[in-house]
Amino acid sequence: MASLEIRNVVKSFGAVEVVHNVSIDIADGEFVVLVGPSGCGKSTLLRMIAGLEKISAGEIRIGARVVNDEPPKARDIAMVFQNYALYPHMTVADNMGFGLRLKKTPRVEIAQRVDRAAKILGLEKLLGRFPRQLSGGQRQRVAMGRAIVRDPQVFLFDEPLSNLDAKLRVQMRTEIKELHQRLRTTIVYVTHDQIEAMTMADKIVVLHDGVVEQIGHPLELYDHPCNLFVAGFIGSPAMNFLNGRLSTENGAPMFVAENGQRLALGRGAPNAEGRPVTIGVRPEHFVIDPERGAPAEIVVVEPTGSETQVFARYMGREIVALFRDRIGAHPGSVIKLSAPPERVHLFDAESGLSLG
Amino acid sequence: MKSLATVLARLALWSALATTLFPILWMLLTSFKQPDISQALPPVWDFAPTWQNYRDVLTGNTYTSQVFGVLIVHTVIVTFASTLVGLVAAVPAAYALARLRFSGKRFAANWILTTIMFPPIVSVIPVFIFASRLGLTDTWPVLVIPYAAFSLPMMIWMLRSSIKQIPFEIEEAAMIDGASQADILRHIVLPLLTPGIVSASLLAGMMAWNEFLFALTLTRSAVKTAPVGISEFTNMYGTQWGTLSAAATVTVAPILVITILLRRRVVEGLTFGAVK
Repeated sequence: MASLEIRNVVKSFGAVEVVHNVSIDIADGEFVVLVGPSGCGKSTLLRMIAGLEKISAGEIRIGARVVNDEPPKARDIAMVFQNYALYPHMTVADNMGFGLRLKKTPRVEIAQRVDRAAKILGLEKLLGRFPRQLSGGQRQRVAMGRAIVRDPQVFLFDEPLSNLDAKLRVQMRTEIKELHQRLRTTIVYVTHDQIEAMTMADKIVVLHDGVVEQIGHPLELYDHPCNLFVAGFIGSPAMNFLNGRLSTENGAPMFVAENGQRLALGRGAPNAEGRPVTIGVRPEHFVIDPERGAPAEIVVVEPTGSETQVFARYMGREIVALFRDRIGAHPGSVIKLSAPPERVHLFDAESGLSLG
Repeated sequence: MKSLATVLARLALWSALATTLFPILWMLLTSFKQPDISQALPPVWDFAPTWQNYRDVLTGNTYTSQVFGVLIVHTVIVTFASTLVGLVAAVPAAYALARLRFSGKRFAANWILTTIMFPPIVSVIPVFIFASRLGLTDTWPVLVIPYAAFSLPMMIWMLRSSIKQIPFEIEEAAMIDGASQADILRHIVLPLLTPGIVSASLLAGMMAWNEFLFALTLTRSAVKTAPVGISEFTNMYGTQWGTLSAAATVTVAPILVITILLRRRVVEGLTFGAVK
């Protein structure tokens, strides 16, 4: 087990810089998720940690060692790939034991370690099979088993659940989390799925266009996103954004939408009359407020059983609201919505940065 | 209208098939005929087949300088050796072109590709001069090396294409598992490259087996091959059609059998690079 330090790392492909001065500290045993949209540089960063891509500038340390110029095999890391990357001509047991065979580990020890990993992952009955004889979930477990057997300092996961169906993804998410709790090995996990990030991570690193937008505990990113991008990326359904300006009403801070409708803000809002701002309200934070709410014309109602998702026109924009209770609304009807002031996020309209 | 087109198309295909197969069938029939009816006009279709021609060919009871059976052995040796030498050079070259980054790679790849268009006949005299000066005429290397050299570009391009079909993530997984480049080639690439190696070997082997010009020019007796031996059935005693047909059948049969058994691999080799 080891800590991981990424210091001012830059990656360029020719003249194109794709990772810009990224710095991340990962403590020993921590489960860190790199999350962001496609093309944000998260997989490139993971591959630089693995040694599969050269670093253009900066430094990566595993434990106390600077590993910039070390080949993958010298870094004591293990990686689980998006498409499993199992050796198709080897059995499950041979796949898992391949790394140990290369190190000339005694056969007895290889068998013991393979059996132990197989037991952890429920692969005992599959050791004699070939990858083509396995389901997607089984292949993914074999890929994880291949990593576990080597007992590395750091586990790297590159979107390992992307190729699985939704149900299996949920199951494997839990299994990976359980594995981490059992092994307590440092894990760096890459995904574009913010739900995976929220449910699995000790710490989330949100990346966008090669830049770190925010690093923090999942709930910290959920409750206090530092900018519009993080606010819109974390949370499902995504946060609703409304443009307008700041105002005051009887000394209380107020948001005035482009169509003139108003929403009360928290006490921490800056006192800057007329300042252009963007507010963000999560769908699950809207409340039906017949007295003080602004009207919302319902466009679509999607009941899922446990909750009701409502698409509506509110303050001149299309928004999504999520209610735990079943509401008696139908398309075309108008309900009055507001949000608790402490749940309204305030962002500078120009820079997109949070205003606290 | 559609059925007429289909009929015409089928007629054309059957005609082409008959035209292609007829010489082989004629050769086969002639090989089982007695000498007195082998050239009869009109052809004799109803006859008692005999194995005599095959016995004569394989025991040397013919008006040729060597026992034909020995020439078949020479052909087998030259074919296997040249294919093996070609593979030993082609596999690492193909891997380098498929996977490694180095300056001049594109130039090297294009240059190798253009040598496929190089007609072997142009080089037979220079090779003969080299071989004579080195004292290599009528020796194994004088056939094995040129055969390997001429099949090398094709083998490299076929294997390069096959290697590119192996997902690179598998090799990356091996790197992380601790494999060196040599380990990756040995434990990962070669086993997965087996179908490509079989296809490339088949085509190179067929070319070497059937090759006539270099064998005729560069050999005398010690390493003479079967295609050259067949041409000796026409000599001052006339043409021994029966034994010639038997010799040709013995020469062609292994290639026919292998092509039929491994036709999928042969087609893969012939169509490599056609579709990404």
